[in-house]
Amino acid sequence: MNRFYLPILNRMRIEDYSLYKCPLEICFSNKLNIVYGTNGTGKSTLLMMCFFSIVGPYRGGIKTKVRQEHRRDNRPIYEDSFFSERMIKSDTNAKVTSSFTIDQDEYIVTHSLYDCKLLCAVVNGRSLPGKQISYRTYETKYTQNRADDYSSTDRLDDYLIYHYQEQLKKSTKLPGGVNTLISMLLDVMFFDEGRKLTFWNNDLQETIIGKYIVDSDFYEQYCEKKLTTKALESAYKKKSETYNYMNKFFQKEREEKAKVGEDTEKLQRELFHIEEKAQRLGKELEKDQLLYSRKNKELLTAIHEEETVKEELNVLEETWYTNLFPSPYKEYHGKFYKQMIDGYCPVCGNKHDFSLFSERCIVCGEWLQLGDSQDIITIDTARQNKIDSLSETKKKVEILSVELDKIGERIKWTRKETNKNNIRINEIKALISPDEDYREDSDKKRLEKAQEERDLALAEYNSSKKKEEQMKKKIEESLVDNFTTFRTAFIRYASSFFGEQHKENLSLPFSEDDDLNAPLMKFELDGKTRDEDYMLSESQRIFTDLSFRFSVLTTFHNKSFFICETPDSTLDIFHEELAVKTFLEYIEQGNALILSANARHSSLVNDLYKHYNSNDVTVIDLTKISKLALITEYSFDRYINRER
Amino acid sequence: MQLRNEDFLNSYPEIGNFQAEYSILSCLFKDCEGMFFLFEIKDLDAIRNQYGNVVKYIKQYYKSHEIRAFILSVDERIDYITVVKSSGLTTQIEQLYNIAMERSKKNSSFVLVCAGTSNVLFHEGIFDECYKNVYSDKQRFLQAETLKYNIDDLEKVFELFHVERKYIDCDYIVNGKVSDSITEQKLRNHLMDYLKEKTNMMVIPELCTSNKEDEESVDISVINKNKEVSIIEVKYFVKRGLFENPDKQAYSFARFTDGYKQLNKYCLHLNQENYYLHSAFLYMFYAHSETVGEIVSRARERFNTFLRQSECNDYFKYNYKNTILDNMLDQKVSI
Amino acid sequence: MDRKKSMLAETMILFLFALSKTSEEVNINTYKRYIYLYYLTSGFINNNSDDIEIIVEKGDIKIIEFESIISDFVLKEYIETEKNSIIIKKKLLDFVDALLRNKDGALIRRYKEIQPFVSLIQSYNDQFVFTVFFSEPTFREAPLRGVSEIHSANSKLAVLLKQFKSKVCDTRIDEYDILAYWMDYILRNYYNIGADGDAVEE
Repeated sequence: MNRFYLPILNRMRIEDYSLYKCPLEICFSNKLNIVYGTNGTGKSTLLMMCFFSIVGPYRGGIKTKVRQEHRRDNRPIYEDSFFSERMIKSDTNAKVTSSFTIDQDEYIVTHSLYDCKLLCAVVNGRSLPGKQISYRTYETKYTQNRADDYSSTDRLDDYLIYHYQEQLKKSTKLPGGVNTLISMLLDVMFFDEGRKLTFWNNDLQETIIGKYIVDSDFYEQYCEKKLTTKALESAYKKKSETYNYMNKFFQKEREEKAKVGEDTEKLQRELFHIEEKAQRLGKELEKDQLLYSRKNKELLTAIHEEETVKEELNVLEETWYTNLFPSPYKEYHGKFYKQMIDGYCPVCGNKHDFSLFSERCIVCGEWLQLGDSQDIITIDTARQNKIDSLSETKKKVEILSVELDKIGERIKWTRKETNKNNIRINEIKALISPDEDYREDSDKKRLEKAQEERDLALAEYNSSKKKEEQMKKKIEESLVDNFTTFRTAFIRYASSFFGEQHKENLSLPFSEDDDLNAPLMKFELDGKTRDEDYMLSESQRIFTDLSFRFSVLTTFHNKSFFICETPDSTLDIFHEELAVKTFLEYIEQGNALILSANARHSSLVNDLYKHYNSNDVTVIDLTKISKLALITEYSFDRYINRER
Repeated sequence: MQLRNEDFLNSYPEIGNFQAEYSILSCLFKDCEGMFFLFEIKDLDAIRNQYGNVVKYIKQYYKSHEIRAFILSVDERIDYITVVKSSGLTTQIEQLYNIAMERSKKNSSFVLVCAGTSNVLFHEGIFDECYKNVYSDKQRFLQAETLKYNIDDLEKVFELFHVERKYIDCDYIVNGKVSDSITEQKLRNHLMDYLKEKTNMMVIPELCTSNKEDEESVDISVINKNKEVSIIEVKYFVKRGLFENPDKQAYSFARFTDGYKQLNKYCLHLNQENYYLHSAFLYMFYAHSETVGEIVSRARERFNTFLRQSECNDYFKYNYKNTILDNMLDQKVSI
Repeated sequence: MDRKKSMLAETMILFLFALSKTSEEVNINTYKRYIYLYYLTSGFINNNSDDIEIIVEKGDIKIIEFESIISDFVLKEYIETEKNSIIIKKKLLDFVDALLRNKDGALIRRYKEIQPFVSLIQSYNDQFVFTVFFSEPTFREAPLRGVSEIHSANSKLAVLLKQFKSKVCDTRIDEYDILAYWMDYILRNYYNIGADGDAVEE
């Protein structure tokens, strides 16, 4: 099992940012942090800053696009003005510096809040080198660089962002480097108000788990393979466009016309032979089509016969088993009847008058179903005969199917040859006596050629897809060995969230079909499988997703932090209590929790806050800090006391 | 597990033809051990379907005063002929080999020579080396099996565990002190691995003793082929000053009572499910300044106190075998 | 009896018949393990799709309807059960024998599928069968995957043996040879005996 390191936020300092009273220095607690404020005071902005200050303005959702059949990796980022828009008065000096640790490495990183540039990065006391540019510009160079297979003259390692991202990769040891870190931060460690669920996103589930389980190189290869398959899929789709091909073909036609004079006789001879061949092919095609139709009818008859025999066999089997193991009535009758007829209960020994009838059951009195006892040997023989008959019919069906396929292939080939011929015939006719009508026919033929190329691209795509399947299987098999620990953590969190009335299970089903899109893991609540998120209520969805995220963080990392936006907004009182318990458990495992809280009646934040002494909690009260806070009566202190 | 599957798959060059038939033949010999006879078969595959009939027939028609060759013919009939009229042991084995060799050559068949405690296979006049290897493997398995301990010998195994650990480094004892990073799980895993190696039973961690309560999992269970179960609860306590960190300490003698309470619960629930409870043990790792005698008497005192509690049930009283004390710091010092 | 239960009972009774050739008594746990291994390998050996449902718990399996069928057999006086043993009675032998006399029937073909398996598995003693059983990949993996119900048609052992077969070029080596080889492989590993017969250094 691979272990990686996540950033642990220590401090964040915001300067000259007019949304807040600056300089704003936040010392994060390694246990509980609360960002409190009324609506519109900049809570979300502050939380976004936490991520931004570590990793830059990336917003997750890294996609691969295909342009001109080449892979382009696209890393979406926020606009350069994302933070400056939220300033009350613009200030070019606005910046955020955060101190965080990754494993043993100490980072002090400064980003501009005016234009989102990375200003400076100091790692273990050493300043990283490189020129400052905006992330947007950097991303353009990055995408181009990758598409051109790193051969671009514009060198990425001239830039500070490049060195910073390389350093992050080294410290975290994450395969896939900063892209994976972005995914971890935004898909696992951040649960925003949009409540974007991770657990039911099969792709995410697999890539999140996969990197912990298999060798880093293998994991990178697997991710590459997935993206390649996607690209091949797109390339295959592109092949359907025939424009380029058609243009080229017209060009060729014009060039050939220049040679017409000398070649006319030769062409006419060729035309004669080809027309003869076309006739012959036509006759063969007709013959094959008739044969195909006949064989198809035979096949349908054979299939019908197979169905009938199967049903007959079923009936025989039913009879066989009924006679092989008849109901034990006879045995019970033999055991009990005598005593019952003598007026004693065979079970307790007491005197009892039983009304016994030969056609009715001696215990319950219901009518007995007396079947004809049949000669079991005869049935067995009939059974075997039917099995043999079914086997023969199945063979017949198989042979016919194979024959039919062969004929089908032949027909396809003949058609292809005929088309090729017709193209050539039209070409020659066009050259000998140019006529616009032939061009139309040629267009159709050209389209068919484009289809051939498309089939080839499809084959390549399928081959890549198959390789991807194999790699996915390997990840799954590796997961089996380590699944118990992960599962234990998941169930612990889930049962804490759901409470005593519910029973949860997480399993790794034996894969029955090769469905690439099937989820890796199966979640059951109270014995029912919940494959899709709509199968649960809203709070249950949230709990499941949080359990998944917490177990990923705690199983594979020593320390992590988790940011949850207004966790109380969708839960009722009962569920809030359970959530409190679970959050506490997450914190007690050595992790830090950052919550944002609204000024509303909710015991969740309250209960969490009261659990710790002031040394272990950091409260950022935006009613006091944010310049947009017009109502100062609802300060955090008042909120806490009110709830008491 | 993944590795083992790959190992198995990569070992394919070692598989021989007649792997199944050789196994069956060696069983034939075992079922008829002590007897002297030949068994001839042309198409060796046929032994698969006729094994039971062959053994029955041989046992029915065997005579100790003469040596017979039992023949399974192509049409699946079993017959016999007498090859040596009177028995006299010393010359006979070579004689039997010669007869077998000739017959197998003449008839292009397999002939198995069963001569009391040894057996040899000839094929088309040649001694079959492959059969010898398969048979030898079986013997080695049986031999190795005798070295494995069963459920009645667990206390002996615990003793061996303790003795071996005196001489072998383990990562939870560092320079004569208990490692600060010690956990109950580490100790449990160490003991479990040893039980897997030394016993012939299924060794399972965290066996849930109850269908209803998920929390009721016993540290280690060993289950034998008759579904008899021995449950072992692993605990430890370390006196202050005996960890690497001189200020650290872990638990106390109260652990004994904790262990008895847990085992008491498990014994009650387990007996209500499908296993046959054979025995229960408390395995106590410890590091302390008191002498073994003093530790024993402390344990005994707590045990006797527990026995008097009303919660102590009969299943526990009847099945609890012993408290095993393991002084972690009892190590052989290497010079 | 419902159909699925009857099919299992048919297999079980044929098993007992085959086992009775060498002994009238069989350990019930060993017998259950035989049935388990038979179904887990029949997809590989006979390429048939017979399927039974098994509940897997740590340390043991429960074959659905197995206990019920044993009770039925006791009721019909086909067998007696005594502590850990099943004693096969003459009534069962006569019953099955009469049916198997019909060489044209389907039952004897079924029996011919079971016989070689029984011959092979019997050549391993109870303790070895126990070791092989708890090393079987489906049984081992189920608790790790958090899965408690399995179908024998999803046998991981069958998949493994099929993979092995695809590597073997010698056409004389058939499915039973591979099964025997796998069992010996498990035992060699378990007892730490190398391929050349010497104990393996740790």
